[in-house]
Amino acid sequence: MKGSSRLGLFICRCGKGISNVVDTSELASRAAGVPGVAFCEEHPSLCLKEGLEYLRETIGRGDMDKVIIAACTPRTHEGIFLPVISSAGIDWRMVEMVDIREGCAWIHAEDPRAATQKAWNLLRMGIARAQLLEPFRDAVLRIHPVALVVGGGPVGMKAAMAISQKGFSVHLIDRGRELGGLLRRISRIYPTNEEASMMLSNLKQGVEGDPNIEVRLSTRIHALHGYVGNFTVCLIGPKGEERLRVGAIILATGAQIFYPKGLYRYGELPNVITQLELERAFKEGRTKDAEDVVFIQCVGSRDTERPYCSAICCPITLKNALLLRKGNPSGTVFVLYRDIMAPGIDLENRYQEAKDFGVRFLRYDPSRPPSIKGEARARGVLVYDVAMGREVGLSADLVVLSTPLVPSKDNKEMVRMLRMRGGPNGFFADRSLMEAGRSVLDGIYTCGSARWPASIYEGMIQAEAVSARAASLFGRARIRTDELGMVPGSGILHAFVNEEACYGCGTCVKTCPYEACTLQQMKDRGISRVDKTRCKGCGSCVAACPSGAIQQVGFTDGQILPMIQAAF
Amino acid sequence: MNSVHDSKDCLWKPKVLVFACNWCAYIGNDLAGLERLSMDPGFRVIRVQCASRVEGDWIIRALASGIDGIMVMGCHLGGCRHQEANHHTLKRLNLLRTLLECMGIDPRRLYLGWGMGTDAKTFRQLIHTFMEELRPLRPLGADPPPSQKES
Repeated sequence: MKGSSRLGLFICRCGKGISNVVDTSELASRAAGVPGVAFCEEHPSLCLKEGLEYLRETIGRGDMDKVIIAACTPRTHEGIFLPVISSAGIDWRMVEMVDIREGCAWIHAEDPRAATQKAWNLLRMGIARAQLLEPFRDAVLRIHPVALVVGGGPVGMKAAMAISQKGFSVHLIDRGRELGGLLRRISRIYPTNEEASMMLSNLKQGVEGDPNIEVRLSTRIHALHGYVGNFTVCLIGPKGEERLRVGAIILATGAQIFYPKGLYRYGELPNVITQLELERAFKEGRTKDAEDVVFIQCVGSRDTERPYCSAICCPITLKNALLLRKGNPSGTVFVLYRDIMAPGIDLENRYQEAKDFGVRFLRYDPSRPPSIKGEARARGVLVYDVAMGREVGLSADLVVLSTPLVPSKDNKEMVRMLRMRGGPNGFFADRSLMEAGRSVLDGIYTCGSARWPASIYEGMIQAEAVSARAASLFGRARIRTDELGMVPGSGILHAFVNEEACYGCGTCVKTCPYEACTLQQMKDRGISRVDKTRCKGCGSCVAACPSGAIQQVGFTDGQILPMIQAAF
Repeated sequence: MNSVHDSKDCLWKPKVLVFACNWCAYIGNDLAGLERLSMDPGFRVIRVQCASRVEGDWIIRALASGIDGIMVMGCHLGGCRHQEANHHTLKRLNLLRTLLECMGIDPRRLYLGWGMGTDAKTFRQLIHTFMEELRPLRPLGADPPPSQKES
């Protein structure tokens, strides 16, 4: 391949932005003499309409099989040049961009001689790699425009309706016998204090009346195969086994609350309860019996085992504490807290309102936690008040423990079936800080408390967001695997295996963040194979491979080592 | 005498090769350009999709080609787009540093930066500081091997 390259080299003067400092005509005349360079010309401004036309025409003539553009930074201009070059018939992986502007002319303006030397080196580096660029065959994925939403709670129902609104079919499954998830067990929702049953019936009506949504209750996932656009889901339900073919999966499986057995004598005393049990008491009208109520925050959270803040417990306590005070003005309500988390306007107002209505807030020290007094029932709480610096005894006929949301029992199994990395503390991970709701796998999205503890409203917003993502995926009938990249317009440079050199050690399998490498049993040994629907082109497998069998398009050792040698 | 005050040494400028990941330091490189900051022309940048692609072979080849110092700049630990890929690199290249030392090569010739250099001034400062730190080390092979050194 090396000798047969016909490189086309375009050097941009960028008006005068580059040529003011870097002697582009010197570069052009030197480059024309380099073996393999079939075409070499300067141009005043390649990115302008006239320049792009010139590119398209010149490349379209067929004199070159690889293109080098020496101009500005590829970060901003790849997206401009690559489509044009592609339309002229050259695959984007046969294009090399050399930055002689931001990385050269613009930072070495005081030393044009050195800048030109550097530009020449950079050009030599680009030529060295370009000579070894090779085409690559992408897989083309057909996108089946049907979604599966796993989890029929408020967030799952919202996701299903959002996708349906965009005109696509949805399967909605839930392992329970009814839709609603935890919403069925709640009395009122913050910050509006609306009745949960109203929200639930509205959501159910929306889902059940929607011809695009097919609901399966008492159904769970038994096995899952496939990739974005083409997942095969094996379900087990009341009618037995069933297979579905879907293009995207939204995980809205929610979370469960942590039951604090052994903490604050929960499980031992009947009137030490969780917030969820308090919600039930509200629903059944039993809260009027409680005179003196003590809430304890951060039970089983923000500790070594569950070092996170579960976000919803303080808002729920504020809601419930206020409801209790308003419902029973003669009693007392204490909230024992470590920190009150009440972000935003509504919650801050609720906090002030609670204080105005006589809810008493008392800070405790986690190293000296409150203790519950009483024999057959809790009678009081003894707590070291941090502000006062002494111990206080509070009377209590009801102690409510605010416990965190913890991952549902299904999460581990889901992660295993999907063959993806689990997230922090057992919740589902986002693929990066900036991509909430997208799991590491394309086509799999997460929302609501399955992803991370969230309020119902927060979860529903996330549901709409991921539904939009799924819908935009469905808008494409076909996707090439190199298009599954991080940034639109920037293709993936995949890893690929030289099967003869691979001896199946499995290091790449362990290293890959996307579980894209698997060992395929062939003849005498396992050989690594890269799943193009999963590989994101990071290159970590290549660096880890002891034999150099796995390489990365555009970054093979064979391409980079000559670049290093041409650097100075 | 191999003295730092040798007149030839004062003129010596180290050659630096930078591997910059697309999402972090390469942005700093671009921004330095956009802000027209003036930088020492003694460095070259190779852009990678992720610092995790960088391997020991490349660094050895760079040293063998007469490059005085190599910088590997990736995203901050915990902030890699590819989850923990940069952690693997950190471990691998720290091991390489130890090997370099065993070979008699000053390990300070390899710089690892995580999540730094995303803005123009920091990028410039990091490159220039590294070049300054390389100056007393002088080119590889400039000093005679230890057995021949005067006591």
